This record gives sequence, C-alpha cells and structure tokens, in this order.
Amino acid sequence: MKNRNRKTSLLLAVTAILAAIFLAGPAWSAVSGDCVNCHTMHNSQDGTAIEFNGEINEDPNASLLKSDCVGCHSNPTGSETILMLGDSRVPIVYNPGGGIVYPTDGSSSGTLAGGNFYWVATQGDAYGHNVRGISDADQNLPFAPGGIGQSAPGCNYCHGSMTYENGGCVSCHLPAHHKDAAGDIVGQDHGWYRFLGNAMIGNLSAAGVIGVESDDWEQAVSSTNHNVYKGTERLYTSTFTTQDNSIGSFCAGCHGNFHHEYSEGGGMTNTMGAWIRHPSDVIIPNEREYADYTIYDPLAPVAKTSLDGTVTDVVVPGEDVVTCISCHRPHGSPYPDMLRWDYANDCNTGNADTAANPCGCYSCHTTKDGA
Amino acid sequence: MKTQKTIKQVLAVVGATFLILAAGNALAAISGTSCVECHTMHNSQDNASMQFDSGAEPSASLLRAATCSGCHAIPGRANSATEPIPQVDGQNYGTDTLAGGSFFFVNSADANAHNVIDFGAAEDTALGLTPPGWDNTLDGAVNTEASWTQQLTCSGTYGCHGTHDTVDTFGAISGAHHQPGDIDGTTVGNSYRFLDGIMGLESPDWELVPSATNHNVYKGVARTQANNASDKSTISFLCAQCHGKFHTAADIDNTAGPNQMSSPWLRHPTDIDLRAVGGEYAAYTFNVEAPAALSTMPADIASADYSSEAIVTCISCHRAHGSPYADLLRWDYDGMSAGTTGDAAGTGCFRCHTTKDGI
Repeated sequence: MKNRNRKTSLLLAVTAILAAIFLAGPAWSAVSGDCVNCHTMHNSQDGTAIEFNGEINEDPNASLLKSDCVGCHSNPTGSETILMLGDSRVPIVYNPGGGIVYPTDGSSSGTLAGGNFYWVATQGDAYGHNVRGISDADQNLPFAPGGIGQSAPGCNYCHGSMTYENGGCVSCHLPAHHKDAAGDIVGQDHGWYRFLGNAMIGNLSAAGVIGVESDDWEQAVSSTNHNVYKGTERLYTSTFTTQDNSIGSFCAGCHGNFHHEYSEGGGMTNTMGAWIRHPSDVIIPNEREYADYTIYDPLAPVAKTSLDGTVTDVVVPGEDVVTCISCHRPHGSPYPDMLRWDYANDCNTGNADTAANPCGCYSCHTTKDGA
Repeated sequence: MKTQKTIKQVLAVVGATFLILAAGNALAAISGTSCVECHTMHNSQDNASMQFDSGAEPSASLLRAATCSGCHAIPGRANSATEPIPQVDGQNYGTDTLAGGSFFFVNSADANAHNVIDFGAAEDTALGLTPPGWDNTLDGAVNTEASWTQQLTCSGTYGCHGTHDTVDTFGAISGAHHQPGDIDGTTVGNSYRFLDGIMGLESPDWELVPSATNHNVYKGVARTQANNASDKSTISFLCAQCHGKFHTAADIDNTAGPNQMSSPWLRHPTDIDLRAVGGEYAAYTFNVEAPAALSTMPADIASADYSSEAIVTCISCHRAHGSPYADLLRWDYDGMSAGTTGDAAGTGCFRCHTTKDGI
C-alpha cells in the first residue's frame, strides 16, 4: 500500500466509524421510509399534478413514483450526494450543479462509489455512461465498446445507446426497491446487489450480481467501510447472463469482448496467453509486486471470489481478483473513460504516488511508481 | 311526554335488535325503524316543533328536517346501538363513525373530507369546485360540465347519491328510502346506499361495530382493460363518475399496448383482483380497515368469501364522507413507512402490500 493511502485511510476510517454509528442500519437494498416520500397514488395533489424537485410532472410516472430514476436520484440544486426524502435516504448519482468532491472526503458532498453523472453531462462523453435523461448519445461510440453482436439493428434498438427510448438507468439496473431479506450478502432475495439484476431479461429470477453494500454508498469510504464486490476466477465465456454473480461478468454483458477468453476479435489474452486487454475477474498473483497489495485501497478495490458478509481491510493476493470496478466508476468520474483516477496525468512510471494526485494503478502494480 | 320517551326507547331497542337480526338482508330501504323517528304529521307535539332543529317550519315529505344533514347530522345525536338514523358527522373516528366516514373532519382540513355544501362545508380552497381526476367525457359522469359550476352536494347532478339528472338533492333520491325489494341496482332505492345503479350488501349498522360477519360487501370487477367501464355497478365506478381519470383512463398503466391492467402502474389500480395478481398480494386477508370487493354478490354478508377473489377498489383506501386523515384515507398515510416494524406494520397499505413493511 502506498504512502498516500496511510494518512488518508486513517482519516477516512475514523470518519467511517462515526458515520457507521450514526447511520447504523441493515445492509440491504430495500428502501425504508414513508410511502409518500416516493409514491403518489393518482399523481394529483391539491388539484394539480405532483410537484417534485420544483417541477410539475403532468404525466404520471411508472410504479406510482413521483419522478423517474434520474429525478429521484438527482440533486438539482446542491452538492449533497445523499438526500433525505422525508425519512428515506436517497443516494444521489447526478448533481447537475457540480460541487461534489472527488474522490470523496467523507463530507456530505463526497462522490459515491458508483461515481456521478455530472462529468458526462458537463465534460463530455468519455466521462461517464451516456444515460437517457442526463446526456445525449455518445458521439464516438455507436454501441458499447467491446460489445458482442450489437451491430444488428435489433440489438441496437436497446443496446446502441442507453439514451434510447428503452434505455436509461434500467439498462443496467433492475429496480426492486422493496425486495427485502435478511443477511449482509445482498443477492437475489434482496433484488440483487445495487439492483444489478439481469436488466436485459428483466426478471429477478435470472442471475444478477451479489455483494455487500456500504451503508452510505461509500460516501465516507475507508478500508473498512466499503462495498465488497463479488468476483470469480473462472474464465467465463461470452455471455449475456451474469456468471458466478460477479460484478465483472455483469459489465461483460455489454462489454463482453473485454472479458472472455480469446476468440476472434475479442478476449483478454492472445493464443500465446499474453494479455491483450487488461485482465478482469483474474486472481491478483501472490507473487512479485502484486503480493504487496494486502490492505484494501478504496481507490482501487478488489473483488472477493467468495463472500462471507463481512467487510475487511485485508486483500489476499492469490485469492482476490481485479475487476472492472477496480479501475472504473460506472456512473462517471472527472477522468476520461470514467476511471477512478487521473490516468493521463498522475500515472507516470517512476514518479512517486501522492495523496494529492493518486494513481490507482500502483495499488496493484506496487513497484511501478518507483517508490 | 314521559310516555313518548319510553315508547321511543322501546322502539329504538327493538329497531336495533331488528337491525342485528336482519344482518345479511340485502335491503336498501329503511326497515325496522318507527315512522316517528323521521316523520311528523303536523310538525306539532305538545305545542312544540318536531323538527330536529326545533325550527317552526314543517319540512317536505313530512320529514323532521328539510335537508339531508338535518336528519343525518342531528345536533347532539351520535351513532350508537340505539341510534336509528345513520349520523355522518361523528367526531370520534372508529368509535361513533360509520363505514363511509364522517363529514366532521372537513372542519380540520379540506383534504380530510368531501366538501359537501349540504353539511355546511365551504368550497375546497385548493381544489375549487371541480373534482380531481374529473373526466366529463366518461360515459356515466355525473354531469358534462368541463369545470363544475356548483359545489358538491349529497345527491343529484353534483352529488353521489341518487340520480344525477336533477340538481334537486331531495328529488334525486325521491322514494328511495321506502323502496321495496332487494338491492339489484334497478332504481335508486334498490341500489347500494342509494348510489344509483351500484351493487353491494349493506352492513345493518353501517359498520358501527364491524366484524367478520357484519360489514359492507362491495361490488367490484376484475378488470383486464383499464378503460373498461362496462360494469357500471361497482363501487369504484361510482367514484369514477367524478374522478374518472383515476379509474378508467386509458393511461392507468405503463405497459406496452393500450389500456392494459398490469404493473408498472401510472396510478394506483382499482377494480383489479389481488388474487389474480398473486405475489405478496396473495397474503391479503379481508379486513374492514382495507376492504376488498367481490364481483358477485353473495347471498348474505356471512357468505362473503374473499379466498379466491379480492378486488381492490377506491373504498379499499378511502372513506367517502371523510376521515381524520388527508385525502379521506382510511388510515394515516404518513405513518405508512416501508420496512417498519412499528405500530403501522401489517396495517393500512400493508394489508395488501404485505411484504413492504418490516415484518
């Protein structure tokens, strides 16, 4: 673990402990709070349609909601990334006015684990997923890079862009806000980790992602307050279904060619076994420089090949895996390719890693910063 | 006078006893209540007025009041086992209020009750005269005005009870109180609670003391098309006559294809069978707090079987006259909190949404 992380982690750990005390609650996906916070039975109040976030929604929303996904999970006027809707806590993934802190400093404006769509809306297509209701279609990407079989018109109807009519947040998430179950490992009975069910099939019975959810969505992240991602060491094939409940496999649903074993036009290795794309869902070797990644770095998280429901600051080379989320924020970040750090400017081989300008690559590639 | 009081007390007890024994009879008309409870032949007794408000002027139809509220909100009278006339202004929710609720609560807030002018309510300050969800194109709407020009009344063109072809509130229910025959919807008097054309079975004490065998049985329909208002005998269609867009509008759901009846809903569904929906709704058991309806009326109340059919209606959530809660709800919606294990768990919304509380 690099020097930048020690002081930062200590500070964040204290913050996280305090946050955990005040925000103590079950690690579940299900929402809690008054029905009226989110729902309207007839989209009618005092003779007018329902107002939400300062806007009158003349057309009622699906599921009797006061607004749509973007509406409920945006903070149109402030930088806070967790809002109280009545007595319900709502994670904010889009702050159109900016002011959010990246990476999070544990404050109320700290960017959450998934990132924020602010940057794709303001800085450009490369800074986040282009999602309907937030940004227009990507000008450079006709469909998901690494996409398999998405050139056919039929597939493009849904997959060409998440800005299409059938797109939006539901391109990735399969909302199940009221699924509720016991246990800290969030899985099918909870509506899957962060509601990452099989969005394409649209059925919760299909395999989705499992994991352990940070109760504050990593607003006050630390080595002991973080999501625990599920990975796998199995080299899965090209597929549209999530395999081994891994979050990396879920990403592969759209970006398949970045993941699987070699095949014509895709894969992570060539026929000689050399990496041709950065590995994901691959064991971090318990050797060489990788063996030194032993304390969890929230900037470059690993995934566990098996979950026990606990949150640990221990990384186990030889067991834990690198995954897509190790490097990317799926909603967006201040950096191109929605990377978790400034790859273009802060990752210069031989330059020591710093807290002010961190490079997450060095969390695994521990010797390449020259320190 | 003492003799008259004694007679009245005896008649009241007899009447109440009859009501209980008559439970299950599908009779809309008044029965088992002595004439004197409502009528006066000369508005004179011991040289005093027989009007409930002691007014000097006699009332039409030899009644002891000149308005609906005159009989159904008699000062100093409260619903009880011996009160023969249903009073719709009870002040103690769940104690002396009836199935329809109480207009008393409009005094707390416009949103708590229908602002019926006959009961002294002023025009709703937020809604004005036109009901929310008003659809004057609905076949069966109470009138055809684009916006209402008169305030809500008990009955008639701007009301719920009786026919809607006259603005005369008495004329709209003329003859209904003594109409013979069962409830079959053919006349106002043969309709559930004088709601013209609506079917149902009536609790003999108006659910003053509801039980498994003493409750209204509402008529519903298991709709498969959102704009299907072909069955105009359901209690929800009665509501739709003023709030059509909440019930029969073609955009009630968000699924592909027009007028479907399935999730994701745009507005809370009514006239839909919980049993057919399944899932968490299969765990619903009939409760007078959130009553379901049946598509076929049983022979009597005790025979009402909700095991294979339980239809959601407007009345499942609302009290038509009023309640202590906003939007005339039957329970405090603000207390309905997802995941709760508190007092609200298993009540209200959670009667149907059985898994969304915390128990």
